[in-house]
Amino acid sequence: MNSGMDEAKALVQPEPDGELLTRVQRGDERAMAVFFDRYSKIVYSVALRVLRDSASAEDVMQEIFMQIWRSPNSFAASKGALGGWLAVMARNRSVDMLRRRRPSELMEELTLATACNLGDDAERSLLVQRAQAAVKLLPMEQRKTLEMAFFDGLTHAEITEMTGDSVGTVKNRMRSALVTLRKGVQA
Amino acid sequence: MNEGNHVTADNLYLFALQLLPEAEMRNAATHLKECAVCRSQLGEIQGEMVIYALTAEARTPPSQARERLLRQVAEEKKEIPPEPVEEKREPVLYPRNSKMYLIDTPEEREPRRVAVLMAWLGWGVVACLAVVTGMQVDQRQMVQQDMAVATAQLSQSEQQNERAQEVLETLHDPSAMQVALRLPLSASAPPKVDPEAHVIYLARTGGLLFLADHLDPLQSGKTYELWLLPAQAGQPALSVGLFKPDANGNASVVMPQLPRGVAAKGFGVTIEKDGGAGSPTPPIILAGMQP
Repeated sequence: MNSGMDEAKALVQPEPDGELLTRVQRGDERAMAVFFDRYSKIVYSVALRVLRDSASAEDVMQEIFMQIWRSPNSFAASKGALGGWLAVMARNRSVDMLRRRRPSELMEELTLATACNLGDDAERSLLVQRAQAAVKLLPMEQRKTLEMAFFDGLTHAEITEMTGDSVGTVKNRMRSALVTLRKGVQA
Repeated sequence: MNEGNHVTADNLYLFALQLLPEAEMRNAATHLKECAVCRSQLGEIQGEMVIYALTAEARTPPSQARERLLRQVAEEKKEIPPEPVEEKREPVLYPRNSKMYLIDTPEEREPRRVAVLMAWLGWGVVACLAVVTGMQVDQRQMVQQDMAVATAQLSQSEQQNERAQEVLETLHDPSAMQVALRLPLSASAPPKVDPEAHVIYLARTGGLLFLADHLDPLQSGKTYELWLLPAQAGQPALSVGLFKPDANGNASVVMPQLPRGVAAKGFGVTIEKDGGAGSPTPPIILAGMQP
């Protein structure tokens, strides 16, 4: 019953991520349910896009949420927006799984600079629309290169081999594409 | 790889995407631990990655994923340290010549008694008010919580209802495509009882129901994969979902998340490695085309 009330409260008036993390630090299991309801879709969607397999994507999602439960301190506010951080983690962990390598701890210790509040449904929806529109405006070569690097987890050398482009061109396209996206969303 | 002491911008992007060769990843990581400038730039790049991550097609995780997480969370219950107990304060000792010591003299005892009585009376009134206020706050919170629970239940019911409506719409819409999947003509050595499947697909909504029976058991590490063959020429087959038959050879795929508006000319089933494949691997076990 209490669990239902907590989740219902979250629907009526979203509890800030920081407060939820404090509850997780105190061992409040219901806070994890709220986190899951808030961010599972973005985490799962990114993982599924990379791995193209629902069972593996679910494993990555489970691992990420359990990390919040085990080490809530490592997700403190210094990391920036938690939703954004989880999205990047989902991508990186999924690529790690594809490449069968261990997750990089350093990547997860770094501070992420973004003002995106993915916990807010309306803001997330607006951002998604803008991001998708900005991607459509990218030149086809940039879009393809970014997709191969980000979602397919191919290294620049592998992309070079597949496309026949030079290393410099591939690097430049990835960088230009991401910068253009940021500008497009901020515009 | 460095410009002066810093990681080059191109390599920072590759580092953020974890695409640098291992040795260069380590070098960059070592530098980043010490360099606030590069860390700050990396943070911005990761912010850009968040934006791109949002372009992944939104998919809802399987319903059992939430239960799975909460079950593991419950299994790994945390040892919560007890709240720190406030140290008991030692009573303050007043010097013998202080005002505090002198006030309790016989001359002042009576006025003090009245003052104490008045103080208790005041506290009593405050306590009564506090109790009444507390009861009102409790009642208000209970009403709010009841409303919140009702809202959540309503939302859940709406979602279930919506899904049921989608299933019904897919089943009853006269424009829904109905395709029976059977052994293709070229298949050799058919089993004693032919596997058979049926797809109901409504392109407008992306709704799809797939039911199969008499499927052969799979080898370990293998899975069946259902494919949608787009009507538009040149479009690659679209993976609909993975499935494994039960002990009786029955299997189903119900309302997978498919993009809306993809016209199909048919469907096919292949056997793939666990996790599925990027494109169908021959042979096609079951196939069905729109008549």
